[in-house]
Amino acid sequence: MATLDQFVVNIRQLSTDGKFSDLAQTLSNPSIDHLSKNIQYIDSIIATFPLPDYSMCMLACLHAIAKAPNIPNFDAFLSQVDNFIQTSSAEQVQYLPQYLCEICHVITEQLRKENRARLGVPILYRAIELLRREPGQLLSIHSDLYQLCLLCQWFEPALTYLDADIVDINRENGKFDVKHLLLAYYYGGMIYACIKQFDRAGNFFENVITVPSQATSAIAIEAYKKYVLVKLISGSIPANPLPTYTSRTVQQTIGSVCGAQYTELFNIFNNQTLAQFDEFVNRHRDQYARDRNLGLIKQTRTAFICNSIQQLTKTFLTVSLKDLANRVQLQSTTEAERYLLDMIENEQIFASINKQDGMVIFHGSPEKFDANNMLAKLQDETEKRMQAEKQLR
Amino acid sequence: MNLSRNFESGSHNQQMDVQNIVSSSGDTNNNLSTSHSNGNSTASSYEGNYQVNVSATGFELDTITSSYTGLMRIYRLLYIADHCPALHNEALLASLKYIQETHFTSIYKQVLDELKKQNIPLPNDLDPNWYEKTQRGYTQKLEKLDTDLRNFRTNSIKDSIRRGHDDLGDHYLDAGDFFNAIRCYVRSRDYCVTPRHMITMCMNVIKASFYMQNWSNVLSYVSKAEQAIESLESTAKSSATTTTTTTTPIPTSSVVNPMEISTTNAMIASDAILASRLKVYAGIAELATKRYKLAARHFLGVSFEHCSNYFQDLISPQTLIQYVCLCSLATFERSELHRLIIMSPNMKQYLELEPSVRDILLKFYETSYSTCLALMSQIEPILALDQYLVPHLRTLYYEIRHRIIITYFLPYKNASMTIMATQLNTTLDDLEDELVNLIRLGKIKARIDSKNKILYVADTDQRWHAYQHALTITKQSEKITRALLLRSAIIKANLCVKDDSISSATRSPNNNNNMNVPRRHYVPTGQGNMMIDEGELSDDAAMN
Repeated sequence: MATLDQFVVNIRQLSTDGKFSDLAQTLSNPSIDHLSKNIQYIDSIIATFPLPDYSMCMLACLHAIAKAPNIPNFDAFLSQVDNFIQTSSAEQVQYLPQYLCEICHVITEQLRKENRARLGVPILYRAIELLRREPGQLLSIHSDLYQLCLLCQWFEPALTYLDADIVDINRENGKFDVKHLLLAYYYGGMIYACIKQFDRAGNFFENVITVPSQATSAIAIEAYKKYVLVKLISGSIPANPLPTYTSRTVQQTIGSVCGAQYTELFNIFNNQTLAQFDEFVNRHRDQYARDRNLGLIKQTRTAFICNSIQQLTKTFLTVSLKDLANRVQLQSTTEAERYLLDMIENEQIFASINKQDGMVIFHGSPEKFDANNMLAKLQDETEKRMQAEKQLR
Repeated sequence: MNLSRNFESGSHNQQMDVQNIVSSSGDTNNNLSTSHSNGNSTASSYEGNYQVNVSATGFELDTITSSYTGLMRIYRLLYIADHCPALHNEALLASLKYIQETHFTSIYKQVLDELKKQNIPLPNDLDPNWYEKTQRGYTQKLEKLDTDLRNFRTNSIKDSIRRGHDDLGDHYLDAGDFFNAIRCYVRSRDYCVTPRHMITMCMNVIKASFYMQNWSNVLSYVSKAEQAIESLESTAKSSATTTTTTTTPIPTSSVVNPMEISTTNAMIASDAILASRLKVYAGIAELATKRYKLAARHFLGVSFEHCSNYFQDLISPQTLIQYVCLCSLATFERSELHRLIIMSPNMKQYLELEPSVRDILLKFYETSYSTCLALMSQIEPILALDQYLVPHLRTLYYEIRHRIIITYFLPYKNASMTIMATQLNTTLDDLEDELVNLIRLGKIKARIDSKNKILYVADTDQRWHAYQHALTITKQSEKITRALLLRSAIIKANLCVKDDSISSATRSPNNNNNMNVPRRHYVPTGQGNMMIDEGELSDDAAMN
């Protein structure tokens, strides 16, 4: 007890003196980890630290509670943490980022188990706000936030962070694990897939796969599977499935584990008929179900049909609905018409249907690139790219 | 029973290719093979034990027996026996007669068994003991040659050793043991001194490899032989000039010199024959390996008199022109066709022999495609009896058809598909399928108006494409820049997926499968532990 009191007085002193780096060192020194040893008194200790002056000490206490084997009153703890985040001083907290991150991990874990993800989202949101030094910085809290958002299907908080480009990663005093990076992008990709922005989802999954690695992580494999499906749905089938800077081990593992079921899909997409596609999917249905990708598979099927129809636009000027249905192997002309209408609305193809004689006429794209705004848009994009490249240097 | 088993097994791989080509070009449409022009009785691709009906074509076995000799004749007869039911018995009996002139005992036995099985009456002068006699003779001669060779080796006279090997190789060849034959011939290579020895050795190896259908071997030795002939020619030329220079001062020795010159002339002539022969071998090898344009070019270099007089054990002029016709129609441009075949005096002589082939070529050139195609389907049964051509027959026919369609459409901006269909002897639907296929393969740049059945030239709006391309590029560069920024951040933070446990040989692949809790992927050990809990992630519902 005496040592504890002494310790508390010590850190109090350091705090008031403003010697934050010393304080940080003292607090994170595991050999004098009095706080975790004396958990039972922690509540009284916390009461002695008013915020925002004693943010660090408070943080250390909260961290000690979080690391304890079981948290007695989780909701109270949550509200404590929330309170802390809202009222602490960012400057002090910056010294001990890993504590905050670990607290967030613990919270996420707990909420996930209890199925109350929605509670944690605002807390984590504010935590990121507090901790990151610039908009382009990635923290391990990001992966937690995305996970909770996925769990409760509430995407807006995540999107604000997802849309920002990451240019830096907060090392969190060495505690930032590469797992968090992988998870952040994996969950991010899934969120984008949920809101149907498949392009960006594909990019995110690709980022997971291309993280430098000497060993393959299961996250990367899952990411690859979703990557394949998302790429097919978004309709852009790359010539080279993976960028060349994917590490060797990852490529090999991917080839051996998911080659047959997923990479094959690329070939099927290009060369085969719908019937063959269905047969292939049925054969591997179990695998897809195990990976919980069935929803994506269904969307891939739609994309396949759209792809076939688009190929037909290149070869035909007009075609009868019946013929179209035959060539794409759809069940009936009504189904074909339905797909056509969808695609026309989404501006994937340009066509008109003549119901009188059941003909579909394919037009060229009406986009003439004449308008001013088109030129302006092009110019805009080019400028943005040049800026980004400057940043890269 | 497949007597010509050699060719079946060798050509099987090639059959698969044909089948694959046929089915892959079908794509999302009906299989092209079913839309064959006039519903020919032969199957879509010639594989296995197909049967050909040659009654309509007036094909006679005599053409084979008279134009060929040696092993080639036997093989061709056996192939016909396998695949043409009408000529089956005749061919078998004829082949039996010729087999008896060789030591080819294994084939003899097969043919005899086949004849007995089908109760065909054997010719009266058949020697029942031929088999044993020949076997004995074969082994005796083999021993003799072996001992001879050993004697030569002990005497270590290079030339006799070489000739000994050659003789042994010839003997094996006669008995149909091609593998050993090649072995012997290749052994004789070490004892070759002059280019002429080299040439003989090459020719022998080529012959044996040819029967074994080892095409790469054939081609490599052909090039070796050609090099040897060139060096021979240069030495011959220099010796010829020296002899001519020595004639002038001494008139009395002019009697001697014409003989020398004539011998050198004879040698040059025989070298020319050799060169032609090599071209034939090369041509057939290229044909077998599907390089049709090269094959045609090789065949074009074969002079007519060589072919008709000296090559009976290899190819007849009729067959040659058939090969030339098909290969060139499938691969040559119109100008090449005109210059190299129709106008060439050499080829004219061949064409005289085979009027149907000549007609096909001429009709193609004057764009009467329907007659051309009709003629082609007429001679198809005959071609189906040629073992070197059969694996490629389908491909070549399709190629020619495609070429016809492409050439036909070249001058038009829009063409009526009904007229095209009559020209090409197909129905409108089949034609449409074929066209879709060709467009998808990129061979025609056109679009189909299915309502009015017109084929339009595809107009590509370059400007639109350029702008579209620009937009795509911006998107791509955005993605790449972002990825690179992230990557530089990762590297700056020194992050890497690592496995810190020592025995890390098999990590992640196994762990997706052994799961205690069904939805937990656990990769064990080390600081780099990757625990994912996909448990509560309801991505399935979300992605719908």
